[in-house]
Amino acid sequence: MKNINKNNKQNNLISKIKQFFFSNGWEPLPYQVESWKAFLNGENGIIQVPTGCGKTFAALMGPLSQIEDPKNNKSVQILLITPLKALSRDLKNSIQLAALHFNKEITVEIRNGDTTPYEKKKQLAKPPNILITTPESLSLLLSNKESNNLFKDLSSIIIDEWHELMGSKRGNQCELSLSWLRGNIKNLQIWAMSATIGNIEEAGRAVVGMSAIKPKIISTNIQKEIEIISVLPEEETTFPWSGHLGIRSHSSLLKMLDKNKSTLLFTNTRNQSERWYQCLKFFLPEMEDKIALHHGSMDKEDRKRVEEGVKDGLIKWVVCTSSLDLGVDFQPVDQIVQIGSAKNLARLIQRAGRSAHRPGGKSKIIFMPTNSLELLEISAMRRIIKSGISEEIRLPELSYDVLLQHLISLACGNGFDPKIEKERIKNCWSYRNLKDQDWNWCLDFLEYGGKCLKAYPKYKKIVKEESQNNNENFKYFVKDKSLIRMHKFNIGTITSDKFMNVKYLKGKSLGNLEENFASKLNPGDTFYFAGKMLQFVRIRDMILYVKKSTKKSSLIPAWVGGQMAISDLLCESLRKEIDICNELENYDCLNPELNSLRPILIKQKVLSNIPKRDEFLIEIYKTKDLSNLFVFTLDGKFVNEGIAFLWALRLAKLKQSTFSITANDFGFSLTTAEDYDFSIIKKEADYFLDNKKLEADLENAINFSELTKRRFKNIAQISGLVNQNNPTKTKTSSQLQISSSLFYDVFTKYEEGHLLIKQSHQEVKEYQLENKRISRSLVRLKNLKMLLNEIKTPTPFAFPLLVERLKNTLSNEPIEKRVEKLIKKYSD
Amino acid sequence: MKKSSFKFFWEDTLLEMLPSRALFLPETKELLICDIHLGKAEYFQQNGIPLTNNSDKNNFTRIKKIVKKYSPQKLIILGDLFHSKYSIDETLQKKVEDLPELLKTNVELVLGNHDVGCNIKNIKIFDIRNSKNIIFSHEPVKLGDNRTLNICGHYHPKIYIKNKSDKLSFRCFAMDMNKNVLFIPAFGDLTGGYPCKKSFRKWAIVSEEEIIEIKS
Repeated sequence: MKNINKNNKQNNLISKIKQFFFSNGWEPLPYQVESWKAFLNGENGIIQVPTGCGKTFAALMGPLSQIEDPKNNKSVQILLITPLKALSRDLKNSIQLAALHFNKEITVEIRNGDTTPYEKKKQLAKPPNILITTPESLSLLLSNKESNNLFKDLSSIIIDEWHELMGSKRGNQCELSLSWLRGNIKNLQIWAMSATIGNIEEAGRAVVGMSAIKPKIISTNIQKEIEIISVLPEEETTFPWSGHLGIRSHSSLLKMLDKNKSTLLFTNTRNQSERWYQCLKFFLPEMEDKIALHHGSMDKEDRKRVEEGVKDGLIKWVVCTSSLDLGVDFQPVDQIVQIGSAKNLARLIQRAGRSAHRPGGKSKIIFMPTNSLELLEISAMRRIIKSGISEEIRLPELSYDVLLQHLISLACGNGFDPKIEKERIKNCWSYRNLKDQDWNWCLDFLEYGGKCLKAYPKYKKIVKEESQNNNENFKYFVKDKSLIRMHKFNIGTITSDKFMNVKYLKGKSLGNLEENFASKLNPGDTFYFAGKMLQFVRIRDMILYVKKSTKKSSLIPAWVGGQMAISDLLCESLRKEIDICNELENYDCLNPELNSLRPILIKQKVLSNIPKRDEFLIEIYKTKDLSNLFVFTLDGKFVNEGIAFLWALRLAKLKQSTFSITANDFGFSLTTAEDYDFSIIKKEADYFLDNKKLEADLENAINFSELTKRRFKNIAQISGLVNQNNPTKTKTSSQLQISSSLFYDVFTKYEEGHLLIKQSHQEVKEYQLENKRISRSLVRLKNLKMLLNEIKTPTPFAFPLLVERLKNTLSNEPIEKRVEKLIKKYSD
Repeated sequence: MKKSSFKFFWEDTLLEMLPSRALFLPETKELLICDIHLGKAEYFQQNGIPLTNNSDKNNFTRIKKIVKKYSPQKLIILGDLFHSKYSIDETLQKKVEDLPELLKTNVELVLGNHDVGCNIKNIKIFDIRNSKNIIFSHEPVKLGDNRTLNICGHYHPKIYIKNKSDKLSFRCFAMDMNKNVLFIPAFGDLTGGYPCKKSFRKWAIVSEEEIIEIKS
């Protein structure tokens, strides 16, 4: 009897949801109905559909239909987590639309970095039914004593764009917050939404936790059709130009674009976006007011104005970075341009998806290569799309910095009992392998500051407080008000270099620049930023004052970070693509990209080889004073960098020399200033491709400490060692300013086995050198036939590496040697 | 040839810049250091940041070492001997007060902004100190004529040296030639630094034994 009632109720709710769809003239898709049913059955899981197929309504209607008596709630009932602040506004609008259908009194509110303190306070006093927030703001809420009350009757959590969070430490942060919510609230239902990814089961598991029953996975067979059109170089060239960022070929691109259509031009870096914006404005003066720039370092208000301008149709073209990747639900944009390799398929598809925000709609993207070999990547991507394979996105594992931050958050709020919290955390996918010993280290670190400080009585961060009725049990708290304030200010996992605010003398803010760039400016220097030519006037209190300038300057700030290598999947298909290129002469059905590359490929073949599937190409090129080795593994930039260092070390063991190293996605080069016999690589191939002592060799091969130091910067900020700039308190906090590299030195010197140092090593090996990929790569290369060619002129494959070498090289020298070289010209 | 010091004349006064982050005036046998920031680690610890505190031991060792080498009549500290008055405990206080006895030399402190509120015996304290044609101060002072040199600390000068493929930063001595101010590098181990102006003359400390002028 009870069951029938339940079924009846469920059917009623589903037909009510359908009514909402019909009243808007929509037809519910099968996967949407499936999602509603699964939710009403009490299940947890993940919904995997391409962008723009109505997944918000798939995930949300179930929870929404269950809100009864919205006016008398004492807690948030539905929590929505979204990766981008910019998404919140649009989400709120569509949720409100749906909520109206069920009950006019349902309230939807946003809580993120842009929410005013007044609103925040109001939300705690009278919680909305539905709260939309970001992982950072959720973390911040957990550090609030009111969090218990705020989420008391929470019934469901929905995570939007989970694939986007998963790839970074924000995913860990989210998992940890979820673990706390799951532990505190009974019968909580959790659903995530994700784009199509290769490891969806893992993604689902991370959402529901290790101990939960298998999460439900809902997918659709909706295939988004994507059309990729490449801008091909006009003149026939046999050299793969590089380093021009594609700007040289702007005219071919402009011919393909319609000035009256709404257009997004995606670039890979902020620097590149500034350059393209400058270029477009110069060549299309009539479009002056209709082109805009949008990147993450620009002022919030300016970005908002651009977003609204696009919505109103006043702005037609926007040059942007990943700042517009997600969200900002503009109505479908008419034209999408990708400038430079998107490096992985998921990103390309996401961006292309902006052009057709309807289920079943066809999306189209124009690809503008910045290096003609990138055309091979596009050709490869097209084949991957056809085959229907998706890319995998991996959550970082055992990030101790994020864990420490989470524990401090809890200690700032309602405190935590280590016994209970440990189990909750080990229930997270990314922390399932957390060892007791490491957990204890974390507690030790927070309570006493680590081994060395144990003797120091004044150290304080978290302190024990015994429970009143049972002194066996205790909880950890942060008691000091200023520590709590500092922690709250620093919450987050996206860290950055020190930034300086850029302002006009009159006070209007333009955005942020890296301090490093600012420190090199002299008064009177002009530079291009936020789409404007500016003259540097002075720096005061971490603010860089500028005025408008009419002088021309080619100086454009660069922002650190954003370096990416092409994905595993793409590497694999790139190798296939190059194999196909061998058939150039008698292959009639070449696609446009390969066809345009034909002269280059033929030249490569004449001068050297195009490696077949079972071959591995190495080239040696000697000039009067340099010996160059070019190795083409086609394994992505970071793997190439790793193997380059490895080989430099192994070469030096056989015959001492120092090498400068350059790497790109195709391969790497080693260069030395003497007559070096590189052919030894073929004779000793087993030695060079040996996998056994890989880790130890890698640590010795590289200025490992430099790399780990750089990684540590981010770890130190997340774990609360280094405080981010507090813009309102630059002066008072100055006595607590210290650079992360000093911490690094001190910990390495005095404290053996420091987990955060260990983590920085691990991160370098895993994400920077990608040692697992290096290892796989060496195994693969071992089974290939090595082609070793002495070449007389640089081949098209080698050319980009040669050009790159002049801009960007690493070296395997010890620090003393580097100092010696640097000061050489100053010593007499 | 490695340069183990750099000699510089201000009028007829010889100044010797040392790679041990000190400035020596042979004529008056005065040894100058600045910005040691003792107790910095403790200050961080009090604020919940676990910075290990073995560095002060090292700072004292290095002070002893240079004093032994140059046997000055006076060790003058140009400010920021301490990081904060809140982080001076009894042990540290005693260690500093025992310094003159231990080093067998006079120790003087020109007060720095971080020293405000500290209370130390056995060490003479000044706001600013004049010596013939040189003014010692923590922060730069306005000079009345162009025959006087101002030697000061406070800035923690650093310099980036780079070539086509590499870049490293070093502590340095820096001289503002227009204003006649010579900045001494920070002595303390736990101190960072700031790049100084292009127009300054600079001498970089490239190792513990070597100093070199960097001409731009």
